[in-house]
Amino acid sequence: MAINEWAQEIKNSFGDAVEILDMKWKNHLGIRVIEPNKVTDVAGKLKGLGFSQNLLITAIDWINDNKIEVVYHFNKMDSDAMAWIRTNIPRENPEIPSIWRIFRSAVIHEIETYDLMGVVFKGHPDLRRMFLPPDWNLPPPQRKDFDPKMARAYDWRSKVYNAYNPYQEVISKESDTIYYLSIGPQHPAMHGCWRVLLKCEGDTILEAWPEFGFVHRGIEKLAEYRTYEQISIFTDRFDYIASLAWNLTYAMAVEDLLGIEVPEVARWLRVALAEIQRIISHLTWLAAACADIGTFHSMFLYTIREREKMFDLLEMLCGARLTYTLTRIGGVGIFKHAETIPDGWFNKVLEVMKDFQKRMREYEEIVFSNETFYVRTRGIGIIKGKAAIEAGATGPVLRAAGIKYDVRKIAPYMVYDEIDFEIPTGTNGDVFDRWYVRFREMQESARIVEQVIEQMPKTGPLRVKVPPPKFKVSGEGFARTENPRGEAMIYIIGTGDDKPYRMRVRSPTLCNLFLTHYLLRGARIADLPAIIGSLDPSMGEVDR
Amino acid sequence: MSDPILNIALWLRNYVFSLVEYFGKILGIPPSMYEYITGLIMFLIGFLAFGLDILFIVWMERKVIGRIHNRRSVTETGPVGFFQNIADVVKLLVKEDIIPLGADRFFHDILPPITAAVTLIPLVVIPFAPHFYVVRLSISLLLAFGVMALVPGLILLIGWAGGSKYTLLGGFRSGLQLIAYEIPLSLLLISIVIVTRSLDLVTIVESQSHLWNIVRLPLGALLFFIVGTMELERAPFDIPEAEGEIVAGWRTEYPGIKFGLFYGTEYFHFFVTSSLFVTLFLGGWHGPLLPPLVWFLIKVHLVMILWIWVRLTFFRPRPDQLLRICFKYMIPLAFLNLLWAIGYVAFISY
Repeated sequence: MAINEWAQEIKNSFGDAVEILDMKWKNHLGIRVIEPNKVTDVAGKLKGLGFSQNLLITAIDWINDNKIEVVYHFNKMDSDAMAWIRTNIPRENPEIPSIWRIFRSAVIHEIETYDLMGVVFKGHPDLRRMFLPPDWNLPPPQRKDFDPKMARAYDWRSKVYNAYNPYQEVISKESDTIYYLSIGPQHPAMHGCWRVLLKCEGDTILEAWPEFGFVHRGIEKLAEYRTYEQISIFTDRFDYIASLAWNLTYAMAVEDLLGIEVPEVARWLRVALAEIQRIISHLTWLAAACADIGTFHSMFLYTIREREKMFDLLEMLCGARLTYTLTRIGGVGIFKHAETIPDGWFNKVLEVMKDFQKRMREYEEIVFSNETFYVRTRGIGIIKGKAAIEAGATGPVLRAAGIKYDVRKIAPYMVYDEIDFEIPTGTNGDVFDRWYVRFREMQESARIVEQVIEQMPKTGPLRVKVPPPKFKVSGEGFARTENPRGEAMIYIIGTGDDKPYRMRVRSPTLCNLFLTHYLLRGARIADLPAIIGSLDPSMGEVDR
Repeated sequence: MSDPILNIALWLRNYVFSLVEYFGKILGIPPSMYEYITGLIMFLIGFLAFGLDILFIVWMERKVIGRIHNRRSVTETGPVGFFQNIADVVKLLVKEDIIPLGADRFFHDILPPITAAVTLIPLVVIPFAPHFYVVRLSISLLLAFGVMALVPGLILLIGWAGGSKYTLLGGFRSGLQLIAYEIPLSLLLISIVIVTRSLDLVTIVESQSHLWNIVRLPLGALLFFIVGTMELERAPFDIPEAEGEIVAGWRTEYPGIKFGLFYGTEYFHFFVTSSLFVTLFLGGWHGPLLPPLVWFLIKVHLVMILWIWVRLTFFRPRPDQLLRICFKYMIPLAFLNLLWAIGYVAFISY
């Protein structure tokens, strides 16, 4: 069905309660809900039309109009169509019904919006402080009237000291055999600063509550104080393991806002960079995940060696080895023409990729021919099929669940539609399948890089003429990409200033890590590092 | 007396005895005590040599791991990084002794040295070379393994005294591991006794002068190697101290030199188990050309390298999977080995 038919159906069902919006993007369905209480009904209708995941909830604080606009983004599993619901709620009493019964994937986004924007979702099962300290008494930090100076005086230690406060209701003396175990914030299995509170009986986990925000930096708020060019440096710090991927997402969003097209060479080069970054990210994951289930860091050292070679490639282009800021608004780096790329870079890339594929076969043999690996990863942390879509799994976790969903194929950006590659999928949706999918993805990425290097034009402009650094722009920019950890999205709003009015980032890691709430149920404590490792946590992205 | 090392040891003993005699006369110690004092001094000298060997083993493990990891490992402190361990011990000695609020102070203080001491007890019965042991008992095999079975109990106590859920979980896992491996281990020891017809380690070694037990009981040797990994709590069976699951297991809450003692205990245990493997299966001191003690130490270190290699290769199973491995596979295989031993004695060796 096309967008128009869906729009007609929505209009028929709800009449004057909704208004169909003209969207800037092709295949996007925009709905303005006049009466906020109707949001659940409209969301239910969208689900009936085949929209399957709530990707993100954005709340925009329009302080001059004294209202908060809540924007819901929905996607489909089989096409590039997206649906947007926009609705206004009063600023003083921001209440809106929760849609979690229709889209379970909205749970974590509603918690985040409640926490940082103060929007109360009525009927939400567990609306609590996830990012802020439990006894936070200042205004919500992402609102426009929040003064960062207030936060400076705040005693942030209560985040750790009063960590058990939000769980007073769940922690109770039910029986003598049940105990509570706090894994994190500092724990070798957590790969960063976050926490899972476990309710255990013996060795079995009965319930798990993840909690984030121990290193939250508020980049979405910080972005409102920076010019567009300056923000691209922040995007490196979202996911420090895959900074180029976020550079690309951000650059695409701002280019969309400005309405500019990047030159042909830059489009190809960006794909090559994004795929090299994907390999780097997955190698880092492999290193950490092997250490998690106890090989005493043998694989760690091997994969880090391959990663170093990839770092060398990127260092040749920009001099940096971890946070590159290489994909920038309007082009790639500071290069004006393709000829300014260092001599021999393309050959070196091919060389490294060939070597990498050889090594990859070696690592596959080390891991997949090891019986103890099967014993350890088969049949634990299972989430598959529709349940994975429902719970909001994304990226390799969703593909391991058997869903062939990849933004690079569904909604191709840059030159992905001209490249031949496959989407590896799993069948059982357990930890083993997630390993398998990431292994295969690395090989596919290497294939993509080789194709790009062979097919891309080596001459021509690499950078479009962009406005001066402090350009002013108004409108909306939107981009979604397939990052190493899943579907990333940036939604950016400009109101004629040189700084964005609001920037909203969808973090795939946040969605995947919230799955621990479901995955750890019934698992054993010894399975915890294997399950968490298979979700590939990157806390910079969650606590952005 | 063709063994040069034994000659040196005897010369040293006589030299120490003459010194004790000289000073004993001056200090007025009764002559009947000279033997005991000499024995004590000789024991201390032996222990010092053992401690140096432990330092060497720690360094060796670091180097072997580095080799397998494709990196250089320790290089900076001393020649080829040999003194890194001494620097580590000094660092641990000067660390603050933090005792958590929930911990039992008395046991927190007393358990680390007790564990180290208990781990060392089997050394007194291990024959390093002919006439080169502390005591010879007719039941030394039972003594060695009986004392070693105490260690998981102590670890359980350590986990309880740590006052944290992680240490307690580690302690329980250690107890679980004991339950898992103790039955196959006992069956293996019975098969050894059947083949060698002795509970005395010296006799067991002497009986292997022509044919090592690893040839007589190949399955038994393999099983003992696996059970030894479990007993040592080394990867892949480092379940009680699984990093990533329960932080550092039973030693999470033990700082400074208490951690150092546990670390040392791990290597004492490593040495003891490795020497028992050599004694029971690899013919102890037997070997051509080189002196017996040298042969014994070479074998012990080679077995250790094998264990280090295993440590770096396999993923760690879950506690319940360990129980399954032991009960479903190890015990039947150990019975098979026992049958083989009986058959060997009944049909082959007679």
